Amino acid sequence: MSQTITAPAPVAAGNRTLRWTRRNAAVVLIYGITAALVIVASIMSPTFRDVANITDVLRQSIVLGLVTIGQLFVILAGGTDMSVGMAARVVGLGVAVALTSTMLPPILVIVLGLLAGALIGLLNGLLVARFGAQPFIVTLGTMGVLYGLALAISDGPTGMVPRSVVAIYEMKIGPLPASVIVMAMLWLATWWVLRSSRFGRATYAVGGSPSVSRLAGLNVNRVLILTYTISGVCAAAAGIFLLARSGVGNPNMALGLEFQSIVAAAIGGVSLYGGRGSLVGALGAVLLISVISNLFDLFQISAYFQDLTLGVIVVLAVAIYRADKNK
Amino acid sequence: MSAPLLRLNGVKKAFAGVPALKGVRFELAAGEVHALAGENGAGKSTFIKIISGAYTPDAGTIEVLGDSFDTLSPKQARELGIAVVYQEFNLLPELSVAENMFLGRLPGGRLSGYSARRAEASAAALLERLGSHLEPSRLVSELTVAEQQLVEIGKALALDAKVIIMDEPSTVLANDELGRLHDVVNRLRAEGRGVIYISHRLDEVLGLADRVTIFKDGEHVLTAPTGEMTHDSLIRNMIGRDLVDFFPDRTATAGADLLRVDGLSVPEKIFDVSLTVHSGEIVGVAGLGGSGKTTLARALVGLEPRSAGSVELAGSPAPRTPRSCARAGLVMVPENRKAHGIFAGHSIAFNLTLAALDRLKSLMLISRKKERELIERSMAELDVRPKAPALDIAKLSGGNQQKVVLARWLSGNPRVIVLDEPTRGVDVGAKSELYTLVESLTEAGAGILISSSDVTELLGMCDRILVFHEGRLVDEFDRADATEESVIRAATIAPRAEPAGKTPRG
Amino acid sequence: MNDKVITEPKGSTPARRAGGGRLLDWLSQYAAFSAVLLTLAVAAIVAPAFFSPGNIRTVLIQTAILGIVVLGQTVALIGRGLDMSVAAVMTFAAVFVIQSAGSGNWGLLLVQLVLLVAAVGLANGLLVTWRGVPPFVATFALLIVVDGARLAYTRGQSAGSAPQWLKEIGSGSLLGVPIPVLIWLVLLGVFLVALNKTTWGRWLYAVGSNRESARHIGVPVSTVVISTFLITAASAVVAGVLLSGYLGYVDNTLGSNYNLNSMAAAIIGGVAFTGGRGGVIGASMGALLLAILMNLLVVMGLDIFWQQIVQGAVLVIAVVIQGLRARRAEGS
Repeated sequence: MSQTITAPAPVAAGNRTLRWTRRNAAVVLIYGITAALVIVASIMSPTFRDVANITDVLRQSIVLGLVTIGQLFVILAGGTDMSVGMAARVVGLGVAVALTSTMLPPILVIVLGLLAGALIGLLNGLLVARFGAQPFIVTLGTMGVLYGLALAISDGPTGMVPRSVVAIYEMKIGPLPASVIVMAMLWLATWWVLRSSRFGRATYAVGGSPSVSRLAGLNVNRVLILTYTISGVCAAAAGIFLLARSGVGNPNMALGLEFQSIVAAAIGGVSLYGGRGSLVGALGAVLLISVISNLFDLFQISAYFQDLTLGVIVVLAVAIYRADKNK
Repeated sequence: MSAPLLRLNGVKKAFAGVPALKGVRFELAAGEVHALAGENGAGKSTFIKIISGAYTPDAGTIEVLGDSFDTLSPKQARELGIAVVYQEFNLLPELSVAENMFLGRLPGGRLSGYSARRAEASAAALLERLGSHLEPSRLVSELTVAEQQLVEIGKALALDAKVIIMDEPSTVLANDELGRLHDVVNRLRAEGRGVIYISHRLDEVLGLADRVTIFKDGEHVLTAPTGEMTHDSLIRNMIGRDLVDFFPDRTATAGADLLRVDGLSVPEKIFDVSLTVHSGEIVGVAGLGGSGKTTLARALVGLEPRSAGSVELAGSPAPRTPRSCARAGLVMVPENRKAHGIFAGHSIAFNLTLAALDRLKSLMLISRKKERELIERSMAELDVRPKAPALDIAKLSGGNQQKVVLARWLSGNPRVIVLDEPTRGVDVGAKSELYTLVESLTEAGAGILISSSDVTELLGMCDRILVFHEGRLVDEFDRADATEESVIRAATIAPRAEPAGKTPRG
Repeated sequence: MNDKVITEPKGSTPARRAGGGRLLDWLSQYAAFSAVLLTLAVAAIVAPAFFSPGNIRTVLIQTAILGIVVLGQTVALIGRGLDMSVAAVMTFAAVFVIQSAGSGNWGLLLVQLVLLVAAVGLANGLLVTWRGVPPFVATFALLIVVDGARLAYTRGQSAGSAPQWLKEIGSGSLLGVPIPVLIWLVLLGVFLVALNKTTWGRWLYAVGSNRESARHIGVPVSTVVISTFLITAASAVVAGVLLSGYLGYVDNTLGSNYNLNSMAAAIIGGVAFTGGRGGVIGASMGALLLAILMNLLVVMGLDIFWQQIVQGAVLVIAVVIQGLRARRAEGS
């Protein structure tokens, strides 16, 4: 498993811009496409360029954004978390039921919901780190279990959410929804953690090579478990946000988030084999996906074609994506 | 001289009953560069792994800075200040130079994040001591191999390692980068650190090191100041004297052309290579690691893209895929047995028959009877031990694994067999058996091309020896005029045939 | 050490033996079989109704349909891949079937099904071999595309009834054996021979075990990998058609549980997710286990969500057993 490095690209030390562009081709591409799409849509549709719609796009990006942040940690450390969508659903439904049927204060319910997410993530992390289970398949298994739990909680719309929780979605600070501002801060915080904290650097190191990381004295298992826990918390937060948006616990909520978040990371230039990629690209991909689904709605593309279109985009994106053969 | 940094005595290690080290001793003083020399299989890498804690010795003592140990754990070794710079770097390409150097101990508070500035300043200071101005914020993936090597050495300094082991550091470098490496080693010596320097380049051993220790077949041969040694005495001690009857007599005579290579090139790896192998002939290819001899072996059977030139097999153009090459009778036994040769976790039987399935069919299906016959015949012919076809091949010794990998092809009666490092990791007994086997193949009319960094092997086995240097064929020797020294000189020292350009080192 | 291993029983793909870890070895080899016995014992106590002839027949038919998907999934896993698009392919195949029930154009149906297999199998195979996309991403992407294509094709109106002849195949018997079970057993035999007695089968194990070694001895690695995805798609089509015949109707959720179940069955049946090891017998035992478990939950009158929980848990347990075993083998 030790990293063999052969034939490095000789790059002139001076030419930093070029070097950066070459390394971050996926990032440049994703923002280019997003910008082009936004410009074209703005010209074609006055509704799209409306400030209210733009803030709506940003607000729509929050659910996927939250899940992608968690997924990013897991993928950078060399794993995959397939359970995020169902974790969001279980927490969303659970919180909805608890808010309706117990007298607990909403804030406490929400905190408990986030804790439940952490617990789910911790379990995934333990399975992967301590038992050597293959991440994709084992989280697929927990996804199945969580799906069953969601059905157990409710198979129909459930729970009336109090105003105070709906406010999470609706509250505004100036013209911007508070949630968008909080989300932006979360992205910033994640960016800082990945770039400048010891845990962030360890995440990259473990994803790059667990054996080298171990040799360097890093606690590989702890890093792995922590990444899955973060992912679980993020998924729980996404579930709670979805609940605040719809006002009622929807048993079909959070459908497909696991794959959308993996795809967001992949087309944002993050290596699915771990250890390489940036948050900036993943953010671009999240925005792109939000813009596309907004345009679907604006142009009233039939729901039956939306999935197909999205699917084709995903296939093209992963086909363009080139796996690094280092690993 | 004060107490040595490191002293090993009577160190023994055997693998599955095959001894790799038979009680060697070694000593390293502060401020000393101590070269460790010996042929492949002499026990050098086992020895390093014992010092670095990767292996547990069967017997002997390890003394570090006066403290005596029976064995070291990797962590212990690290804490005692022992660092190894392997040929394959242990670096994380997506992290910066500074992060690689300080990974696991990044400076900074728990909540404040690590201080990139402090890490980079410390890294810069360490690199400065190595005489380098490498920017510590650069990503390792952007660096040249020489720069990456420097980062590895920097990692050792970051641990304040007293003992730095460098495993063939020069093989990955181009000639003009060697000077800088030697400068770095000299600086380490000046700081009072001890360097164990492993190299096949004899002039390097003589020019750089203070003392040299030679191992042979797991035994200590000598330790002497380099001033008292010459190229000849080094080589003589590395080979030993009693090698004459180790190799079978060559009885086959060269016949018609079997393999004719003309102007073969592989982009960025080998250039304009022409050679011929006749029926009944064994041709050797000598060269250092990275000289292109492995690429040649791979290109011949279609595992590397050919950009120019032609390959003819018995007069007709050779196919370009491994499968059609095998069908035409041109086969290769790869250098890296574990990664490219065997299917670990599968039985000997599975490994043995995989290339011969076409011949095992009756009524479209693989016949168990024919399969069993082939397995029994092959295992008997090559004397694979233990004779248990259902055994996981990974449990066999290197020599027996190699027999299986070779036997896989032999049932198809190949015309040309390319062997890349055929006896690497193979014990002496099995070596001799493999040599006899190869010799018998030529008697049956096959042509053999052996690519090897073990010059003794080439001298013992081959009718002709071709020498590779930096991707080109630079020299050719007949069996009669080849000597160990002349071949090594051609492979290591500035080539005769190459046009001037690189400065020869003296 | 060596002497001990020689006594190991001879088999076409002898399992790797690690020092210690006997329980793990045993578990991973016989997990499915022993779990089947255990489940049957539990059934005898808690739900005797399980053993009614009618119910046994149901279980066998469900085993057969899952078992056919598992055959394909096993091939994919042996080649160090997996296929997440089987569920979507099953449902799409069933949609073609109900359409043909209206038109009666069986030739067209055959062409549609063959094209479905070719398109999905090749797309998956090329993404994995040519573009180096991890199999789970490639096949998941195809899952979305195939589901999306089906929705676009039917405008969401997937519901319908299977043609009469197919209903007869799906629920009929020959010599007292349900026809789907016969088809499954025949296919099982074909896969058994193909995996153990043909060049392709040996190549598949080689490719799954060590791609580079396989390339060195001339195995056409990409072709073999692509073939695995064609086979998973084909097995999904066969299963989808049979399932629609057995149920008599088709809806949007027809194949939805089969991704998870087929993987859980194969892995609990000893097929290694790391490639190169396992076989269709163990995997079929896994299919039997899952079918029994699912049915037992129904017979016991438990809520439908228990099925989800149990199949997820089976997958988790199967992967953990294999993970621990692989870790132990590495350590020794």
